[in-house]
Amino acid sequence: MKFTEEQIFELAPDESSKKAGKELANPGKWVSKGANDAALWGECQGSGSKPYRTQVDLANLAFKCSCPSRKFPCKHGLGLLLLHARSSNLFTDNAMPDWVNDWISKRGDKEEKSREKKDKPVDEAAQAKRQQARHQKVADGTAELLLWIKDIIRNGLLNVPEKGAQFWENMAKRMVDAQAPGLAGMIRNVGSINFYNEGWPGKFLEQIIKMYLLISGYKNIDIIDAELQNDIKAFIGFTQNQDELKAQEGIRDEWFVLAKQLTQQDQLTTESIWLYGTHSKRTALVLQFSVRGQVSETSFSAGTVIDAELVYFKSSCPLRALIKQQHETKMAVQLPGYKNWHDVVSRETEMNSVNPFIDQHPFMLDALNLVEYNQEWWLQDDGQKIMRLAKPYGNLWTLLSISGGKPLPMVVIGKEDEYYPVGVWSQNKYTIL
Amino acid sequence: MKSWNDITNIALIGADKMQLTVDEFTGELAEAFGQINSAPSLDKEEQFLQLASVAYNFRQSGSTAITSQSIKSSVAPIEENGYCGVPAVNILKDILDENSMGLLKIWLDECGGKNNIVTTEIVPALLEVAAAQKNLRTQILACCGKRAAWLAGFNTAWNFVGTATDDEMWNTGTAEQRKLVLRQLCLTDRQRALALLKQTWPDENANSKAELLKQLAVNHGADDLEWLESLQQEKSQKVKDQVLELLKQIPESALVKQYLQVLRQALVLKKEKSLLGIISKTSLHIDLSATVDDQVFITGIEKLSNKKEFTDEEYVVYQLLHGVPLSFLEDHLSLSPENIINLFEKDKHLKKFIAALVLSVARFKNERWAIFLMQYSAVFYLDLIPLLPLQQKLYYSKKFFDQHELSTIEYATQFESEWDVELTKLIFGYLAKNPYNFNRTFYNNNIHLIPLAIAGELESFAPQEEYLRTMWSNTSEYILKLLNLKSQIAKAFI
Repeated sequence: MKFTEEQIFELAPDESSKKAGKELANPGKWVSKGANDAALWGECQGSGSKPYRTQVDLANLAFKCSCPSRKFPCKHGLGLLLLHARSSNLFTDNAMPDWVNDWISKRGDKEEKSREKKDKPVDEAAQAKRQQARHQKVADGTAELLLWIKDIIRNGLLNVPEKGAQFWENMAKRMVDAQAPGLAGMIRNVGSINFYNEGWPGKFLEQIIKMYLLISGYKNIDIIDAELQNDIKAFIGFTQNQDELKAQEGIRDEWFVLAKQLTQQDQLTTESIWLYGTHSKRTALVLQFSVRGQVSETSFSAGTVIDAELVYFKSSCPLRALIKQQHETKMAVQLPGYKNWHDVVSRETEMNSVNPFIDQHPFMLDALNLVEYNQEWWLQDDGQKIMRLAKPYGNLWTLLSISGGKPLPMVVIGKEDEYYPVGVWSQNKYTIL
Repeated sequence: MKSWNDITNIALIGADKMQLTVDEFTGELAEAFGQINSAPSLDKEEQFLQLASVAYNFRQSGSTAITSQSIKSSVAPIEENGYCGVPAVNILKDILDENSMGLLKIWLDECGGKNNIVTTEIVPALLEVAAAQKNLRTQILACCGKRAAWLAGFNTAWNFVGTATDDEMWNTGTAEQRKLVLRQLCLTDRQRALALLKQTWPDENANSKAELLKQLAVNHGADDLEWLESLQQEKSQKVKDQVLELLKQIPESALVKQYLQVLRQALVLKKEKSLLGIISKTSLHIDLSATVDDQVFITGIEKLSNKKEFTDEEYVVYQLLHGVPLSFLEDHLSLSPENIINLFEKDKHLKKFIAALVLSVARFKNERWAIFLMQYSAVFYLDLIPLLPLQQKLYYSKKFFDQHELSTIEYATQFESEWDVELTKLIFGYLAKNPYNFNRTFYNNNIHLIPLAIAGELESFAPQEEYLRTMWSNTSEYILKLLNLKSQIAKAFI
């Protein structure tokens, strides 16, 4: 498969890698290079005596390079892919050398082995004891959190902006001690709300309500629907065993990579990959976490389609998923989506009715137009209904310029009454925003 | 949602001070309120939290889009020119990433030359560049097609895009926009530029008058004379100074004619016999004994010399001489330019007046005399380089490079066309020895002048000193990258 330059730049871990990759997209830098349907490889003369061996698995989009870079993919991987995108005719050699062959076959074996890997015997009694101890800790912690929330509600939110950082951090730490890291994160988020912004009380109250619902839900966990139990536990901070999930049967589909978003907190980089099943019509969110120097499992580029088997995390409204197995990557073609905003909000209502904790979701709409109304920007459907464009939105002018004032098929992410476009189809090309 | 707003307001005040009442809810929410309010086990904070939770879920589930029949969306006009291809767009993206204005200029020239326009997703990025780079605006707007003007209608930061006519811009634009309109009209339709200026002149303040007059310096000539001379009666000294400056550059002005009148009397060519009358010699005598009209001295001519090599009289002549076009000397002395230059150079008393000749050439942008001075004078006048035709610019820049390295490089960066390989070699030889004085910005801004043929020779300029060699090696790599992009531009538009 041949990627577009835009898709290749999407893979770059940072701006400097992108720039360095561009410089290496030069045939003169490569001692040897070759390509076939499965892989792309090349030897790049670096500062060392031996050239660096760079390989790209085209089916599962993965990179390997003998250079010492801790970035992933490294500049050599990006440069090789870019050179192939620009001048594939230069890649005349299609017989994989041994070093490429070994890696590609090992990747296949590894996936096979991991599927075959048998679980270690589990000491069920010890596990039950651990679970009971944690349940008690969480129950005690949430009881304390409820008192803290009630205090805030009793005294009113007007005093909240005066609270120092310690006020939030102390309670967050208490939740960490109570083995409820999800709640700890929510408290930190509440504390980091910008109290100078208009509308902060509403946002603050929403977060407090979510915490209250989780506390109440956990208190009554035994009488709650089994799927919703998973959501409550997940928000509190209980993790689901990924090996167990992977052992389950997944959904094989051609998943359209709608968008890829990177967020960084301290040393941790979170890659959120939004997918849409072209046959199953389901959306999915794959999260990949990496700390500095660590390599992500797989690379994704928005605008491509991956043939893969996905397993959803247990939820009343499944969204987060794991990739169990990936087979092939190809270019995306335009797909039919929601007709209008009515269909989108109906779907949201459907999800909210089973899960009150629903966060942002991706939606594909057949035709949206960016319009200005009351000095704000809105997304208008073909029935003249408008939905507010979430602020801040950095790609406003690019989107407006692409659309030229005409409705286009768009992928938006959002919830309730605010959405932001992440991709747009124009002239049979998916542009990442 | 009214209920949600009421809930938020009560949350702000505190559940201790104010409670929710049933009146604030309707339908199913009122029913839920009844159930929650009657639960005996709940304290008032928890009652509030439960009511707020139900209302929040109601709000989320009942969200709808707004009907907007009244919005009139504007549609961008259809483009007439074709879009440039994917390779050209990719190179443009690389150029914008490198922030190389030199390469962008080449790219825009190629794109404009092919009557192509950029694909729509790049237009905002180019408009951002145009906002900062006034000199590239015209080219950028030509390559952005009709989409640029349409887009600029939504963003005041891009109001430089010509959505308004010149007249509208002149009458309602900012000071900067008005100056730009005037400067551009001076180049394309000078009569119209003057007409616009005359039309609003009585309403302009002194500062604005002086600033607008500065724009007339481009391409001005005898056509402006009548009006400019009428402005000598302006009250503001700032305006009068600017008018004087413009009049001094017009050979047909009364002011220049006044200077010529004085010089005709002051410069006298005499034939003298020497060596017992065997040899006759022509010499130029300067005699300012006749009374000079005081009017001359109110035009900026100083009466007293501030240069020790000039007497007061000589200094007046020196100033007058650089205020008149040199064709006057050809007519007045009936000598060829070569003879006039020889006359001044060979006489030890006249030699000091050569500088006035050079200043006159520069003032009146006299390309003909610039060539004569370069050709016949024994001295090299660096300041005349910009007035020479390209071939002569290259020739003299190379010939005198060793004597004026830095100044030649400075002038070379103003050339309109690429340097030849020989001049580039001389320049790079100097740059390589002084890599800390010429950083990447220098190459970025001047890449349009650097010929591709130099790419293979960059290593040959590596200095002997180890510390400079490393720096040059890094710089060379960067120059190669820019040259590589430059070579790709031409290929992308084939």
